[in-house]
Amino acid sequence: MHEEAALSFDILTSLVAVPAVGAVLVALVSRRRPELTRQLALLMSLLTGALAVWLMLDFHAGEADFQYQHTYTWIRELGISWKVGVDGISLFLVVLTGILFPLAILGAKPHHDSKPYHAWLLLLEAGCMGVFLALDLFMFFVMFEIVLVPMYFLIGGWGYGERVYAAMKFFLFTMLGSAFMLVSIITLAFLHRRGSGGDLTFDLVTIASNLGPDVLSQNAARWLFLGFAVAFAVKVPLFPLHTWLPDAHTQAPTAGSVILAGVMLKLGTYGFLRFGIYLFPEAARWFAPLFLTLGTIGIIYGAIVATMQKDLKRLVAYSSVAHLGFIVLGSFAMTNQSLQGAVLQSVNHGITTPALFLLVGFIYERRHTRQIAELKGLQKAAPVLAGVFTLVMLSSIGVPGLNGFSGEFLILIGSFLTARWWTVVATAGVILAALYLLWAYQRVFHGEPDGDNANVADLKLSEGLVLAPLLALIVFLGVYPKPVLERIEPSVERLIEHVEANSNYREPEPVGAVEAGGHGEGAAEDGGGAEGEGG
Amino acid sequence: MLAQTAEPIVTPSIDWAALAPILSLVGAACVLLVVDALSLRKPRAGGYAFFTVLAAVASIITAVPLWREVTDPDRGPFTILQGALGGALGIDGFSVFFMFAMAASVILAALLADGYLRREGLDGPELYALVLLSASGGMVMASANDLIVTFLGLEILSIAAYVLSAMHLRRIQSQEAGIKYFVLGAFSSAFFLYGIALVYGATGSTKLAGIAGFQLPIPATEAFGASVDPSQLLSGTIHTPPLLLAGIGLLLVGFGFKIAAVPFHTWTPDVYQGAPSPAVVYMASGVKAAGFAGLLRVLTLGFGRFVDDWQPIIYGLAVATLLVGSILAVIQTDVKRLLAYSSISHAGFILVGVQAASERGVSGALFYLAAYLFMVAGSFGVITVLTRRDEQGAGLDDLRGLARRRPVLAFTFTVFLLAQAGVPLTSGFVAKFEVLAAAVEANSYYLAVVAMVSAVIAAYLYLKIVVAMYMSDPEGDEVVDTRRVPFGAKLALGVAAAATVVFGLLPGLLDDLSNDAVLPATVDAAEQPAP
Repeated sequence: MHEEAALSFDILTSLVAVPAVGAVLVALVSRRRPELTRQLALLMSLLTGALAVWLMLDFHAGEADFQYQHTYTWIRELGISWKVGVDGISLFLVVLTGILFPLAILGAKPHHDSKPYHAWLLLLEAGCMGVFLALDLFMFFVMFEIVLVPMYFLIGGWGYGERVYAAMKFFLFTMLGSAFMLVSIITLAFLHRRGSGGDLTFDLVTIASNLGPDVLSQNAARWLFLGFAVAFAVKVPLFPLHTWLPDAHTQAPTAGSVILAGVMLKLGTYGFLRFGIYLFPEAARWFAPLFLTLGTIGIIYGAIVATMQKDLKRLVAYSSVAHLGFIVLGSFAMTNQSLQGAVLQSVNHGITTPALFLLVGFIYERRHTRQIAELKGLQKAAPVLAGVFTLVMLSSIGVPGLNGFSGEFLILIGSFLTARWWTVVATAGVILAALYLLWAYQRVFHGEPDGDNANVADLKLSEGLVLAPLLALIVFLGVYPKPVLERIEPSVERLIEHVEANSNYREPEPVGAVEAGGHGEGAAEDGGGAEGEGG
Repeated sequence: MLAQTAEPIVTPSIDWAALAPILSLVGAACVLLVVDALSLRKPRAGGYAFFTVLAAVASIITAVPLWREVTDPDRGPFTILQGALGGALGIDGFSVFFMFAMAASVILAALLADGYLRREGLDGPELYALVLLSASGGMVMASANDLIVTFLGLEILSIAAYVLSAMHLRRIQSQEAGIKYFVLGAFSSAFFLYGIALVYGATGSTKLAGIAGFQLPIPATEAFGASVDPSQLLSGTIHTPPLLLAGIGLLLVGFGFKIAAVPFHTWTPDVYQGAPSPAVVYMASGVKAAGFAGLLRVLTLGFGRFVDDWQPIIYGLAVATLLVGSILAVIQTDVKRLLAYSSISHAGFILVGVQAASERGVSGALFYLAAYLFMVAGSFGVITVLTRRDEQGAGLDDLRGLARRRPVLAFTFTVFLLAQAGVPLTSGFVAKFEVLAAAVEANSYYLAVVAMVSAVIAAYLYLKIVVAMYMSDPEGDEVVDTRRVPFGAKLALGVAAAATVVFGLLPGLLDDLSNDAVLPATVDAAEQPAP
């Protein structure tokens, strides 16, 4: 436990427990009172969000280690405990989860069966929180796997057209990935016990700090890393394991898409950083070219396929494949800046893409279609909606001054040092993003509206209020990412030191930073601010 | 042990307290039959079921002091109460664990049978008496210290089960199931008996301790009768005699049939589909547990030293059972048949624990069996409640839209199905985790991967049922289902669901039990060096 922890109670466990208790409470409310279930769910998710924000404010910036750690024995005989902790890498994903769930509940109402819908959403929130906070491999796996169930029911029960197929595909793909991870986790724990001579334990930090070559052979480490990586690659998703994502995103209800894009894809990228690279530094370095390549393919492939989409929601879904490619690129380039960028971009993507999904959801509510060909000239009838869409879209493209830029820029500048040619190709992806989004925008919002498109209602105040926090974050993180970065940086630096201590990898000097302004995170901040004013 | 045979016959002292859990079941079965035959009036509704539950509870209560005694830390690990029947039955943690399990299975089956039998117009004491007798046979199997006694237990267990599956007089499928089960079961018993004969021929004993203590003859190249250096056994210069190997193989065939391991599984789908549902509740939970109890006991106590001979066989059985069970389940459209195939796949998982041949493996298998007992009893219990007269309405299509018609029942079923799929926070996940841990500890990494892949395949079929219940609209007009779930069934399903969730959230409760119930493994594979 952190010695200076100001909070006298276990805030991290509360972050899991509050939504879980909320789910049970919602399940106990009478089926005939749908409004009450919604209000109760909203209250519990707001409470969780408030706790998450409190955590962020109380968090000690500049400290690399896990904070607010708490451990409770779970299964004594197997050395399994409920262990939670948070550091710079997980902090903002926790906050993001806390913010997105109330917005998802506010932003999209279910069309039927309000009670189970909200109960599943709260359970999903508990699971997502658990993944980001877990410091025990068993607990992590439990949380990683449990999120499938609520999401499966959300897609299958409240989705569109091909929902059953999409839900099934989502569940089975992810479960197949985690099947390999489970075997890897168990194997790791037993090899660790055999090698270190201690008791069986699933404690992440204990295992990671003992994994010398005498405990885990190079070959074994690579196999185990691959077991973990398959699970994360499905979740991210990395090309060619991404095929579940467009289906799941398109068929899911709006809230489902928001959470899927905003939080659940991050389970994969977070898993790579927290478990893949941290536990198996040498193997991660060895496999880095593979994952850099797959990430880069994802960037280009996602962008090209997105350009060709006829369905607006599917287009946004494929744009996620591209954006997540950047995060994987940054993660495996393993420089200070690229990792900071990867974490920051995880958060950014979790703000921008949910906003896009909400907007597409609003359009669907009005027109009952998402086909780009059937939408035209919405700008005339709904100027505010169009304006908000423009801002979010520009953030997604990565226009300087908005959050998308600061993350992508850090990733590219950091990756250039260790993964030059991959970075060169990836940069082209930024241009492609402008292509598919602007073209889609043109077709949907520009021109003379015809038929139903002329009568589209503009953004309502309630919808605007849901989007407002996301818009504020888009601008704030674009202009001034420093408070976020200074909390991420120490933990990222510690991860790199851990990799350097356990493999022959040495981080090169950040040349780019020197040229841009002399110190690391200043580069993005200065560039972003200046460009933002100009545009 | 061998010396005992030469002594004059003395009647063994009988430790009645140690036998009480078994005797209370047998006694209750006899009372049920006799009293029903003599009395003119039928008892009140639910009377038989109540009496059966009472008998099983008595069995559990009498087993508790035994459990206290055998797990007493002052007496050291692996305490065996030798008094029972002159050592023919070993009352140890392992056998008491299965006494609890068999009694729990009887209780669940009896509670579910009550409403079912009245609905089908079959109310009578026969099903209860048979379940009680069969369970007593299972308890004997779990505590047998002699292959002959194991065989006795096996037959008591099985013959009652054959009749149980043919009990539904009006359903032709039930008759077919009974015949099929009986013929194939008789075959497997013959294999088993022949196996005992060969083992006796090779080792000169049918006692498990006698087999374990058997002096291996030296290889054929050397003179017969010379003494053997034990280190030669480990170094592989001495081979298990072919006669013994054949005996082990035949015994495994017999057990493989009872636990429905591939390729001895072909009876399972037909029997589970045809037999009356409450009987299936008992067969899938109780009979399967008893089969594994016998298998584990014989392999560990009797053939622990020949682990290198049977481990590869179990490995192969496990792989085949896992894959065939889950793959064939995917194409089924009858829910009972589908669950039958899934139960085959679960047997594969338990075999993964058996294959590890370590204390962790046995403990994992026990955990799995106990967790599975509640899951499968609950699953078939839901089917028992859902079907209409003559077991109509057990097709996958009949479940469509169930969540709308009967939300609580659908949710309960979902809990059991997710647990069977191995979703975390249910007992099914921890059970899979435990057997995988045992496999990994014994360096069987590929087996662990195969098991998990088959779990994913099996997940598809559980999801198929969930899809039918939650995400499909019923065909034709929506039938208003106003039938009430009988009280006994409610209780059984509630208990099973609670156990599934509680053991999932707090596995330590069951884990402590299963750890205390392990058998002393002669060769602990986990302590062998990595290859």
